[in-house]
Amino acid sequence: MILERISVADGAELLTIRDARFHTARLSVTLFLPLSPETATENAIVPELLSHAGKAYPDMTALSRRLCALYGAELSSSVASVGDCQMLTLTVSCIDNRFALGGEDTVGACGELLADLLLCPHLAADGLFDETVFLQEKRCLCERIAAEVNDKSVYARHRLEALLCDGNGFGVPFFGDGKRAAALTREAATNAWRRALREAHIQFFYTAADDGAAVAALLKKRFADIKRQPCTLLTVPLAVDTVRRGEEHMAVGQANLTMGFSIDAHEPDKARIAAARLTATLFGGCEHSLLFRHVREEMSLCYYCSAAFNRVKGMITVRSGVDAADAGRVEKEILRQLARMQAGEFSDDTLAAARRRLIGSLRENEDLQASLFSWYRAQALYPPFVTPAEAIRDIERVTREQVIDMANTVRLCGVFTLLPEEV
Amino acid sequence: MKFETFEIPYTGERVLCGVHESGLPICILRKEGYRSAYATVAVRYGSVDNAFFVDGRLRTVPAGIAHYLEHKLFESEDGDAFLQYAKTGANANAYTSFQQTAYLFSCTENFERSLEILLHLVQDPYFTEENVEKERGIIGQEIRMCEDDPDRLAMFNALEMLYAAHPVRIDIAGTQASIAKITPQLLYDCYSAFYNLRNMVLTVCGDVDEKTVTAVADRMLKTAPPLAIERRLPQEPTTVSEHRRVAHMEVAAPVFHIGFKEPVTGDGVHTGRELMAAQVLLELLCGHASPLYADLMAKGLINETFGSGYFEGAGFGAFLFSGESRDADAVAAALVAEIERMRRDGIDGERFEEEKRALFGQLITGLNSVESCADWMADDCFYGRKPFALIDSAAKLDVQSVYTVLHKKLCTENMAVSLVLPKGE
Repeated sequence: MILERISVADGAELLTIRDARFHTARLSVTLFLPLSPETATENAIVPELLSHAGKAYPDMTALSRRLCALYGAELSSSVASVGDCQMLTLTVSCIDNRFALGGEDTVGACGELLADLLLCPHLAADGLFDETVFLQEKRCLCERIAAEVNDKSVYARHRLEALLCDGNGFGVPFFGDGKRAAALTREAATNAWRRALREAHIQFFYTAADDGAAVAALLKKRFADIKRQPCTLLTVPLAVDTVRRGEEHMAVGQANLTMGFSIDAHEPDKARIAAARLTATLFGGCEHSLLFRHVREEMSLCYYCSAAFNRVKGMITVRSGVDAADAGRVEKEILRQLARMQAGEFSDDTLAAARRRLIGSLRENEDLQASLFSWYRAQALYPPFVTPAEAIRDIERVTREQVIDMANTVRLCGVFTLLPEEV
Repeated sequence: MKFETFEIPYTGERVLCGVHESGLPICILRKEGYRSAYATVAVRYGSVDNAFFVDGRLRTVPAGIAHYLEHKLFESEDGDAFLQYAKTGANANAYTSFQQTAYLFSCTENFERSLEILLHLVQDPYFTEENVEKERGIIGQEIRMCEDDPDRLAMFNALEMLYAAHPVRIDIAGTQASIAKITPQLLYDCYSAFYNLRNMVLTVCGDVDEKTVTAVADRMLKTAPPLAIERRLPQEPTTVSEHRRVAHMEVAAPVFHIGFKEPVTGDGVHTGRELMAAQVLLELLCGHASPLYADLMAKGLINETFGSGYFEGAGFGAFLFSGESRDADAVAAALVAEIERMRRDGIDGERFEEEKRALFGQLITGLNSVESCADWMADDCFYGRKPFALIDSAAKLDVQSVYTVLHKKLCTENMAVSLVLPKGE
């Protein structure tokens, strides 16, 4: 499995992995932009507008029929954040030409389709996004933002992030906010698309049975006339002087406890990332972790209590769903487990189990195209790229002492609790 | 152990299937070059199996017990299975559905030892008052988490309206009250009734050969007694018991599930062709390329959360439509009108071919994942299908099969609309 990097344009590159094990070809494009309250909403509507119509397929029905003809090719869009940046992604995936019953070039057609959707959207005569498509996507964006509250765990996590980042960068909701979405205009959305093509850092990612030469040639040709002025993208590591606390009451049965910690390991300092990954896994990243063994299995206080490491922001987020009456007890126990880790009170067996699970999950990345894409997308702004195999080698070298040292850099920054109304 | 070889249609990959001397069916799909291997032991025992006969006597057990058993089977006298997996690096898990309980792991090393642990845990229950009590808090929190999920509430309310008697109307995890009644003895009773190797299947997918799997099976499996499971499924009327129900939760947008109950009699099992025909029908009716989807979007009645599915199993079948809408009753009315139009005007031949081709491609795509292949083989085994025969069923589907489903299974009079509205609405 060899990763190749091909320059498509200034600040735009294509990563390819040739792998005939897969039955599908998968091509993605991600546009990286600063995540700010002023632009997040208008940026967020762009992938929705691009993925539901195009110049050649002016509405969703026509586009969907084209995807059916390409053996159910899957076209998706997403908006997410990495550190203080917003990521706008379009992905198309289709069966490899080997399996096309009529011998069609499905892979080539899907490459053309993605390039068309990105560069040739359905614009009206005035050069702005088609009004019908725009109004539909605007409504959907408003509803999506409002519906965030439907998933209580995600809602609580986003509230914690906002609390920790003062509403800037990482703390900005990546779909934007409801008021700005309701006020969006065709002009603003079209300008956001044009600005993204001009200023975003762009990563294409392609995995398929072929070497990617054809898709590289296609993208270079299509980008030849696009004027690029890539912007500078920065992420400030998490740093909070005093512990911030927030809570909200809602009609829920279960309390959602979320805790944010800073950890002194973040991009681009790759040397410390392996130790931080292992530390977070030992803390709460697997079923052998301190949080799973003690908070769930020994104390029976929750169904889940997990920790996730954000290597761009230098942050660990712990989440648990608990009885409201137990929220304080669970928080204390989470901090007690952190203190134990900082004091080296964990067995070599526990550390070895966490290390094995982490290595296994990294190795499994190579078996799914979507996982490979996520792996390299997360590193897009921080070359040189580390392969899963290289990350595994780094984790194998991390010592017990390094884990303890890393644990001692972990600081509680904030706690957000979503509580039932009666508490 | 003798294996029969099946070729996966259109890809040429080969699946080996056989029955081990112990009675356990085994299916293996070797995927050379994959880093991970995935193994699952699926038991044909799910949340719907809450009434069965033991020595001629009817036993009725609390709702959620299959799920509780799944949690508890990870414990043995030798300790928690997770602690054993800790030494192999495997990622182990389990899940319970309406009709199955599955125990699984994926790993990138130590496959044989991990398979030993898996085969041991499904054959060696260890329930004590203490460890059963300990689990109650964990499962109680899992239930509470689910209770805060509006989509799940909307779905189970729909199932309650569609099914008056069939236990598919009951939440898989049960309730706080039902799990309070679960005891070690009840868990042992259910284990004895259903955890027979002849009522299970082991499926393996990854860069693993049959010799490796057979050697572990030979070491670990104890010969199972003859299978003697007699389930009791209540008489389910062909009509629905209720047509509309509204619940309230802390949601921003109203959530809906609309169901059309299929008039299934007895424990009828659906054929591969019926399943594929139902999938194509749903896409023709309201998939992204359908006129109805475009119309509902244009009217602002649905958004991208809208989806549909054919919900089926032994003795039940329903077409479910879900999403968020400010007016789910209008969505339901539009669905009924479109179904009636399709019946009246017929199915467009070109659109049928497009959706059939799309389904074929989606099934081929499913072969990328070792996890999805292993689960797929388990389903095929339980439903008596050749492995991955659904691909051929999709490729050779004829429009008449879709008409049959449209006219005989999609009954508009058997509709139930479940709504979860924001508090105060």
